[in-house]
Amino acid sequence: MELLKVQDLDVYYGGIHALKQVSFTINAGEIVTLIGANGAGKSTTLRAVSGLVPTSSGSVEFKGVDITNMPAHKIAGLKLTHVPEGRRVFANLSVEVNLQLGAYLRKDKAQVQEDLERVYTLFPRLAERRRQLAGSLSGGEQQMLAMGRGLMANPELMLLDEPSMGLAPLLVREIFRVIEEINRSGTTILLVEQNAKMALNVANRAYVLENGAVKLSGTAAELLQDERVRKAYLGG
Amino acid sequence: MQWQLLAAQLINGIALGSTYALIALGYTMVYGIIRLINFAHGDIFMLGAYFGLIAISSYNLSLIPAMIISMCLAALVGITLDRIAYRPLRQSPRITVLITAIGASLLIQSLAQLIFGADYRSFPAKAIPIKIIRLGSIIITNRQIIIFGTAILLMILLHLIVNYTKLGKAMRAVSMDKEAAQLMGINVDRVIAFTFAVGSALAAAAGILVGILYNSVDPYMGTLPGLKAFVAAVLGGIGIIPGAVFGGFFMGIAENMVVAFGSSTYRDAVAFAVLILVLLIKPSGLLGKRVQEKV
Ligand SMILES: Nc1ncnc2c1ncn2[C@@H]1O[C@H](COP(=O)(O)OP(=O)(O)OP(=O)(O)O)[C@@H](O)[C@H]1O
Ligand SMILES: [Mg+2]
Repeated sequence: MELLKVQDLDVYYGGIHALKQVSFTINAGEIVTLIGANGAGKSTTLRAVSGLVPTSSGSVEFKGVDITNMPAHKIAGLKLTHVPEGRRVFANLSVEVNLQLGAYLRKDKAQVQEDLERVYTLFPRLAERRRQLAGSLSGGEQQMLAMGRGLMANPELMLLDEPSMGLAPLLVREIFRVIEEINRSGTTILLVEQNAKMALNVANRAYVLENGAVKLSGTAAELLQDERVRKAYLGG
Repeated sequence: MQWQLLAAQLINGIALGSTYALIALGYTMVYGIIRLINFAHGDIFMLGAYFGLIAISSYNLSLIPAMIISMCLAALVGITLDRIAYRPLRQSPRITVLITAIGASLLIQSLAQLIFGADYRSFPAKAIPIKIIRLGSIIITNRQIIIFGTAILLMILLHLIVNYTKLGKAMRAVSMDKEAAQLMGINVDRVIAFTFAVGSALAAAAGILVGILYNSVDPYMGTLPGLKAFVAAVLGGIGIIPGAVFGGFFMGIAENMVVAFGSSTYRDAVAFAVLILVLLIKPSGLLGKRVQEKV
């Protein structure tokens, strides 16, 4: 079943044509990754899907509902959750309040409490620091918080923008392990990564963006073998 | 120097300062959330005084219901001001919004003069009969106690709202990162409207309290207290809620100390002197860690 369907999306920043006729789909249960060089338009794609940037043409459908240019806070209410680039945790609020804000729209209090415990089990370091201000966490811990906060929305589709950026190798592996675990428990994932190799290793399918347009797509296994992908993104 | 006189001025300063603090809270909250110095804030304070005055003198209400009604009406005015004047300019350069704020201030003053007349008006004496309380040789009036008590009560209420309610937490989230807040499902426009409502309600309460303190209400009464409260907010670090409270009390006490030790001629100059000093020495305010400026 198609969970997300993006068709012929165009996005402009003033005169810059950042996305050119971008189309892709995500099926329920998948991990799909979007790879590409700096400035290729990966973040812009996620921001267009979650409603943070307006699109000038094309359409976005989620669970069969047209969400093109719907306000971001309404899209969040449809259980489509965007964990943005650069973590963007609320620095002057505690870890726990950050997590509570992730569940802002939820009315199922008992379930929210269970999800909070689940996030703490997934990231024990957050549990130890639940009263600490988010701004005082290390980069890796902030990334865990950003992902945990996203999980608190109990999303059906999670957009993850460079979750491993700037982290030590050990933490990168930890983050990827958690991504697989989140997916196993039923959340579909669209993953944007610089670390193309690791991303392709956890993903089912992938799209390659170049200069704002989709250049290649296929299963992750195919792309791992593809000569062009190996040259450009996997270091030979 | 008679220390009783000093004590009297200190008590005056605390009472006056608590009203500055209430006004400064609105400045600082609105600035924290949309980086706007709402120059019309002092005029909402003035409207609050009129609403209270009318509720008491024309409808014979007692102080507390009059204050509640005035706060609700002022909240509506604040929401309306944001909706029609500021919200359409969210993406505009700051200077545009600032000029709009000055325009809104002048408009509200003119409308108030049109509707309420330009004359000074005062609260009926029976609203709060003056009682003198003696503590040894220090004299306190019941009005000073009511002003201080009401202000503190409202500040505690604000503290509870901001830190413990869902909307309050959303407010803080929006002030830190609007985009991330939207991704949580927070309706940013609604949170901004709520901020205007709360700030305006506090200003209205202050308007009534100042109206009682000086027993005088007029369409231009918002200008000077508005300016002093703005300086109070800057002094405490604009955008920082406890800073506004600190700054408010500081300004009220400083003003009355100048009267005690110098001359009442200079009482209004204190605000300008403090503003210049803060901007020269620590523009981020006394409680500000760094310049709060964010894009
Ligand atoms: N707010 C903006 N205003 C103007 N141009 C922008 C803005 N955001 C992005 N761009 C431009 O749009 C293009 C795509 O940017 P985007 O952030 O989507 O790339 P990206 O693939 O996520 O890159 P990175 O790997 O560096 O995060 C780039 O050329 C960028 O300079
Ligand atoms: Mg990016």
